Parts: sequence; C-alpha cells; structure tokens
Amino acid sequence: MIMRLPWFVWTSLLSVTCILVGSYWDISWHMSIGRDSFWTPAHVAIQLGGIVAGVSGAVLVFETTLRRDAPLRAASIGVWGFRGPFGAFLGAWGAATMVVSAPFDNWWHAAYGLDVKILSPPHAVLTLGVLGVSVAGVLLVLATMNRAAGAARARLGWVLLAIGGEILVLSMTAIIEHTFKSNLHRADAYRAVALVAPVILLSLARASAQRYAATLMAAFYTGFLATMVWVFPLFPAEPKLGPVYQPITHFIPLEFPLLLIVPALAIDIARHRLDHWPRWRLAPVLGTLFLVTFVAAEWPFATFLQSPGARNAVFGGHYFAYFIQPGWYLASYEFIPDENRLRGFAEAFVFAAITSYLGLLLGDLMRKVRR
Amino acid sequence: MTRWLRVLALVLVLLPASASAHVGSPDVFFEGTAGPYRLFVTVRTPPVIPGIATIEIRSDSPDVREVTVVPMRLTGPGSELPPTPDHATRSDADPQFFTAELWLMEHGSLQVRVAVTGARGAGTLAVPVPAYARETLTMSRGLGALLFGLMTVLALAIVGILGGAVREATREPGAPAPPPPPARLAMAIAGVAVVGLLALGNLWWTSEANNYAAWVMKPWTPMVRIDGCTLRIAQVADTLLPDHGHPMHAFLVSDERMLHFHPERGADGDYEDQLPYLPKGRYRLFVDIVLGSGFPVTGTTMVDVPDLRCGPVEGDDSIWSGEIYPDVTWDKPAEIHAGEPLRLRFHVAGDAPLEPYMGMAGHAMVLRDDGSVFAHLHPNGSVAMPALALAGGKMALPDGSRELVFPYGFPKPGSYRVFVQFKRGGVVGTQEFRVTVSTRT
Repeated sequence: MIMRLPWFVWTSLLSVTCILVGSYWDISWHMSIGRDSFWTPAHVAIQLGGIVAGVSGAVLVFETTLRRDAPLRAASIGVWGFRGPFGAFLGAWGAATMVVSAPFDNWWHAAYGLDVKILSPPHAVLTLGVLGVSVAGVLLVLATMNRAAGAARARLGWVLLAIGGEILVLSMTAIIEHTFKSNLHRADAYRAVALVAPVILLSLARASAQRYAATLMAAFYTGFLATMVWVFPLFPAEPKLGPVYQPITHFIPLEFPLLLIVPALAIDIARHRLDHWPRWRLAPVLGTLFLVTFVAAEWPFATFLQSPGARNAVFGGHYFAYFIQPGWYLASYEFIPDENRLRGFAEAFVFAAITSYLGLLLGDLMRKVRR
Repeated sequence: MTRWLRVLALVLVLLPASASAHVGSPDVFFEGTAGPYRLFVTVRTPPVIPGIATIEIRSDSPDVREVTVVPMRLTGPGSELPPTPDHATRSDADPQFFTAELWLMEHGSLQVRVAVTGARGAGTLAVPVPAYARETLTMSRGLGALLFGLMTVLALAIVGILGGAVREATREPGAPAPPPPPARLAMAIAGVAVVGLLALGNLWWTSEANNYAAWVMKPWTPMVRIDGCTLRIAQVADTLLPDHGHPMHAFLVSDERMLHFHPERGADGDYEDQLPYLPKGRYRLFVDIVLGSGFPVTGTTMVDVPDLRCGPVEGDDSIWSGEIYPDVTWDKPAEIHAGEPLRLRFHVAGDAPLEPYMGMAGHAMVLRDDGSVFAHLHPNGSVAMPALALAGGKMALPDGSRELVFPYGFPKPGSYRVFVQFKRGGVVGTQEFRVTVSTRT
C-alpha cells in the first residue's frame, strides 16, 4: 500500500531529510573540525537535497506541461505558460535559490572573511532556498493528501508530520545562536523561539488530521536532536582550524533539545477544545499558552543542563566546540545576565500571538490546497 | 556565540591603537632555527579575517624531509592545544622551499608554529603573526550583474508562482481557472512583499558590512605636542611590553635627519622624551609599541618641529644627520622585486667589533619615500621582539661576524630609504641607503 503513494511524496521527504541531516552534520563539522570544502559529506547531503527537490520539481513541471495526459495535469497551476503542482514550482525555485546562494557566499567569504555564524545574508539566501524546498515538500504531500481519502490519506498525513518535524528541527537550528544553554535564562531565547515555533507547529497541526500533530512534530524534534547528542560523539574528529580552546577527540553535537514538547502538547490539548473559536481569539490564547508552558518547562531544565548532573553522554552538557574559550559563560556553565528581561518577554508574548495567528491562517489555507 | 564574537570585537576596537604592526607592510618575515634547521619563514597575511595566509618556508639545508604548520594564539588560552597540522608542500623546482595555506580564524596576536623533521631529527619554530583585517573587498561588476540578474529572475519567479497558486491551487482538480483579478492582486501583494524583503536584506547587508568595517584596522595617529625640547605623545595604551628595554620606539624622519628615540611614560601618563638639536621642518613620526598581548602597533603622523637648539642625544637614542660611512656597504641584489623575501645583507668593516645596540646585533628602518611603508627590522626579521619572547623565541645577538642580515620583503614597488643602525666602539652609527623596488615579474 505504501508503494502506491506517488513518487514525488518520497522525493519530497528525501530532499528535506537530506537537507536536515546535511545541515546538522555541517554545523557539528564546524564545531568539531572547523575546516570544510565544497565536497564534505555534510555539504554533499545538502546539495543532494536541493538537487532531488529541483529535479523532482522540474520533472513534474515539464511532464505536466508537455504531456496533455499527464497524471497531474488536472491538479496543476499555471505559471508563465508552464503547468505543474504548486509544490513542484516552489521546489524548483527553492533549489535554484540554494544554487544562487553559493557564489554569493563565496564572495562574502572573500570580502568579509569566513563567517563564523549561521545567519549571514548569503546563508539567509540559502535558508530561503531550503525553506522553499521544505514548503514545497509540504505542499506536494498536502495537495495529494487533500485529494486522497482513506488509508492513503492517513499515510500521507504521517509523511506530512515527518516533513513538519524536520522543518521544525531546521528552523530551531537556524536560531541556535539565541538558544544555547547560557542564553536560556534570557528573554532573547524565548523571543526567538516564539518567532519560529508556533507558526510551524500550528500551521501543520491545523492542516493535519492528527489530534496530537504538534506533539508528534515536537517529539520528532526531540528524538532527532537527542539521538544526535548520543550518536555524534561516537565518531572521532579533531580540529583542523586554530586557535583551539577545547580538546576535541570526537564530533561535537548540538545541545540537548529544548523542551518544545511541553508547549506542543499544551497547544494540542487547547486547540482541540477551542477549535471552534475564531483565529483572532484563539491565537493570543495559544501563543500565551505556548510561551508560559515553554518557559515553565525550559527555565528549570536549563538550570539542570548547566549543572554537573547534565555533564554526561545522555545530556551532553560538557560538549563544547573547539572555539569556545574557557572564560566564556558557556564553558563556565553560567547564564548570561539579562538587562532587558521585562521588555524581552513582553515582545516574546506579542510575537507568540502573532506567529500563532499566522500559523492558524496558514493552516486553514493549507487545508484547501488541492494542486 | 555571535554575542561573544561581538564582545571580542568591542574589546579589540577599544584597544587604544587600532592600527597594525609597521605601516603598509602586513606580511611577516622571520628567520630562526627549528632544532638544527635554519629557516626563513614568510607569512603572507590575508586581507580579511578569517582568511587564508600563505606560509612560505625556505630551509638553509637540504636535509629537511617534512614541514608542518599550525596556527595558535600567541599566549594564554588557545596557545596550548594545536589543531591538526597542515603539511607544507615541497617545491618541485626548489626542494628546500615549502609552501602551505593556513586559515587565520581570529584577530589579534597569533603564532604560526612550524614543525620540521629531517635527517638531523625534529625541531619547531614559533613565528608571531599579528592577524588583522586590512580591507573589505568590493564586488566585481561581472559578479554583481550576475547576482542581480539571478535575484531578479528569482524574485519574478516567486511572484509568478504565488500568483498561480492563488489563482488555482485551492481549486478542485479539473475545475477551470477563475478570472485573473484575484491573482493579480495576490501578485501585486507578493511583489511588494518581495521588494520589502529585498530592501530589508539590503539593510542587513549594509549593517553587516558596517560591523565588519569596524574590525578593519584604522591607522593610529599619535597625539603629539612639542614643549620646548620635550616631545610628548598622549593617549597611549596602559600596558605596553618593553621592546628591547623600551616601551616605545619612535622615529622622526626628514630628508636630512633620522632620529631614533625612546619616549618613556611620564607622571601624567603621556610618553615623553627629550629631543636633540633639530632644524626646523616637517618630519614624519613613526611610533612602535607592543600591546600586552604581544600585538605590535605602529602609529604615524606628520610633526612640525620648530628650530630646536637642545642638547645631544642621550642613552639609547641616536640620530642620523647625513653621515656617510664608506666602510658600511649593502650587498644589494641587482634588482629587487616587490613581495620577494630577501635577506638584506650589510657589511660593517673596520677594526672595532660590532656590539649589541639595545640588545640586538643591529636595527634597520625601511621607509618608502611617500611614507606609505615603514618597517622596523631586526636580524630576526619583521616580528616584534616582545612577541617573539612570548612565543619562546630567541633574539639574534651579535655573533662576531661583520655582517648584519635583515630578513624582509618590500611590499610594493617604489623608491625606498633603508637606515641601518649598528654599534661599534661604544658609538651608534646610522647609514642611509636608497633602493628602487620594481614590480614583481
């Protein structure tokens, strides 16, 4: 039965999975080894994800445009004389954007030096491309799901949640410069999460038929990142860039996942009970609930992550990238002081309400996608 | 982590002297020994940090088998744990010449540690390298046009895709497309959003470029005033490392004079020294200091000196007033090319042996006629002596020979003056040479 799902559902899942694994691997590579090339396995995985999405999108568009009896001809949209599913166009666009980011990034390194952060303008272009590819995957699966019925629809629902979970990991990875352990007693971290997580969780949960869709995506996020914490240190690595401030003998994973599963469960329960509310009324409630439950869970958990009890292979509290200097807060297991906590949290609540509204709106639109 | 990089950037920016070692001479030339092997190391520093430095190593002996290089901080954290070393490649044309490319990831006082193995065993050599960004590259017109074209296509494409999606994506399969107005409205909204996004991106890019520009080293212009016979330099960093006995080496240069003097910190925090007899005129001032981290800094400014009828130079200060020493000669190559690593080799004849001048066998000052290049050299090369001491290196002392050798490479073509200073019979001598450097062929 699973084989009956269209091929582009699997290529959608494959492309986002490649990008996710490649991105995680790449960041860990930069934390552990430092120096890279165009052909590191991590980069190849990201490139493969882009190629799979781009080629799939192009094949779908050309087949649908050129063959009048193409299976998706009736379920296609028209763009500049071409025909194809919405997701196919977006996938090809996302892959093209990823390609364009490469010469821009190369020039950036030459002009301003190798960037030592995740979010730079050329990386933002790459992220935009990845976003295009990821949303394209969601749309291809979603449109197929919305046209399907019965068991196929249910299976497509699971694929949708898998891609949704991957998008959640990718998006949370994009903001790790705000959510590292030493920052978790600052409003900045919660403001960043409020900007990213509610829109993903609520849009996909709203589009999905699963009652615990947000919880399942957060569980995927937790499971993926926790597994990486346990698996990556099993592989040897040593820095190829200096200066080196931390002794490194194995790959350094990203930090233990945030406890997003708590607010995800809370909003799943709440949205089920308040589903009949209009979006403008539901969004501030879900946004507030998301933030309150997240802070209640993460704040004390962050204290634990900084404690000696977390410095083990399970929680990985003692893993530091080679460039983390001994005097920095992170390496001293200290929290960075927060001078603007009140304002920061006020902004976080506003952002959570806005992104919750956007999530609900997008979710409602996604329910209608047929092509 | 970005937060800490910002903090680090701020600390570096707040250093009193946001300027570089020497003036207009960013590459490092160094001669020393790694165990039994004598090496001439050139570090061609990158214009941006993080960036790739090219390391050139010439061995005096043919028995070197392998050379590796690693970057580390000069002192403190980051100076203990080496990364995986890079192997230098032996030249096919010259088997005693090795090259490697090395990432310099941080600003500040770094060292390149060179490890050598060969027929006579193994040895290491540490070369202090001040790492700093010199410039921001501009985008070539070709690349700019290409990226702009691609950006335009992508922007138009996403507007077209969103328009198509609004028009048809929610319609049941097979249903006919609706009339265009809603899609046109959606495309207009998407177009405005894309333009807004590009505008925000442009603002972000500008902000990032400005942040980076704050890292680019600015020239240090010392604040100088002359009171009677005293020259004072204000607002200098609190902690300076003594460089062969003096916290500051200063040089006042005109066509007829070259004064090498050593201001000391006074009670008011200014650095001051007594000037000797000097004719009225406009002089170039160069000031060498070494910060506590081992980072060398050279400041420069023009100084209008009144007619000074003061006493003779004292202590380690010395002055050249056009004297010519016929027995001091430069074994100058027939042609000198910019960027070429050289041993500037001078012979000091006479009966009296060479004596240490401020602990060194000799000093040399290289000055381009337009003042755009200034370097203060020693027999070890262009590195600052306190930085070398922090790296565990040894200074080159007089060895009884009549020869003074300064490793260096002129950074660009032009007309230069080279002042060589030595001491014999208790007297410091300064000889001026002139040289024209041609473009590297």
